[in-house]
Amino acid sequence: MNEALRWAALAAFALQQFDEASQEEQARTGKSAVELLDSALEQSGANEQLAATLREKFLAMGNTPETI
Amino acid sequence: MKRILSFLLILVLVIPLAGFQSSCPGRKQDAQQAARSAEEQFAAYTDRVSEYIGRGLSLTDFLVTGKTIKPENGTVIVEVLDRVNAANKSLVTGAQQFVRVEDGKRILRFTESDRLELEKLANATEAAARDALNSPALLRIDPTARSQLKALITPAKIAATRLVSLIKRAKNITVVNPAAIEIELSYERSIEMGSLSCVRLTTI
Repeated sequence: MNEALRWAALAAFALQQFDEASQEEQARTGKSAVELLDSALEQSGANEQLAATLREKFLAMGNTPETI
Repeated sequence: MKRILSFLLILVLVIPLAGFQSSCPGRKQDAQQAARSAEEQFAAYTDRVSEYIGRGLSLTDFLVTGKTIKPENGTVIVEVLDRVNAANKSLVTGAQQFVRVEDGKRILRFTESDRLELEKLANATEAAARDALNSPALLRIDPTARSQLKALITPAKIAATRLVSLIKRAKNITVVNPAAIEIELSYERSIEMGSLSCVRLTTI
C-alpha cells in the first residue's frame, strides 16, 4: 500500500512538473530575446542554489539508515 | 463569359501576390523582425534548458526525500544536472555580451564574430546534457523514477542540441543589409519584384 501511494505521489508530482512546464512554454512565447536570457540566467542562479542545498541535504540523509 | 475569364485571371494573378507579400516580408522592418526571431529562439532554448534542469533537481529532491532513490545516487544526479546548468549559464552569460541598447531598448544581436565562441559554449551544454542522460547513476535507480527523470532531462538535451544546430546553421549567414540585419539563417531565396525585395528566413 505504501509502495502504491509512493508511486501515485511520484506520478502526481511528475504530472505537475509537466503542467507547469507547459505553462512556462506559453509564457515564453510572449517574451523578447533579452527577457528570455534574463529569465534563463535567473533560473540558472536558482538552480545553483538548489543544487548546493540538495548536496548538503543528501549528505546528511546519507548518514541515516539505508533507503531503497 | 469574357468577364468571368477576366475575373478569374485577375484572381490568379492577385492571390499569389497577396500570399507572397504576407509570407515573404519585403520591408526592412519585417525582415529585421524575422531575423530577430533567431535570437529569440536561441534565448528560448537556453531558458528551456534552465527550466528543465530546475525541474530535474526538484524531482531528484522528491525522489530522495520520498526514499525512492538513495541519497548517494541523488547526489550524483544533482552533480550531473549542475554541470548542465553551469554550461548553460556560461552560454547565457556569453550571449549577454551581445545585448545592446537601441532606441532605449535592450536588444540581443549576434554578429559574425560571435558565432565561434557561442558554438563552443553550446557544444559544452549539449555534451553535459548528454552526459546527464547517460549517467550511470540513472541506471542504478528504480526504472519508474529513471523514466520520470529522463522525461525531464530529455527536453533539456533536445533544447541544447537545437542550440548547437541553430548556431551551426547560422554559419550560412548572408548579410543582406548590414545596417538593418546582422544575422540571417539560411538565406533561402531572394526575389525582387520592382521595389519589393523579399527575403525568406528559415529557422528551426
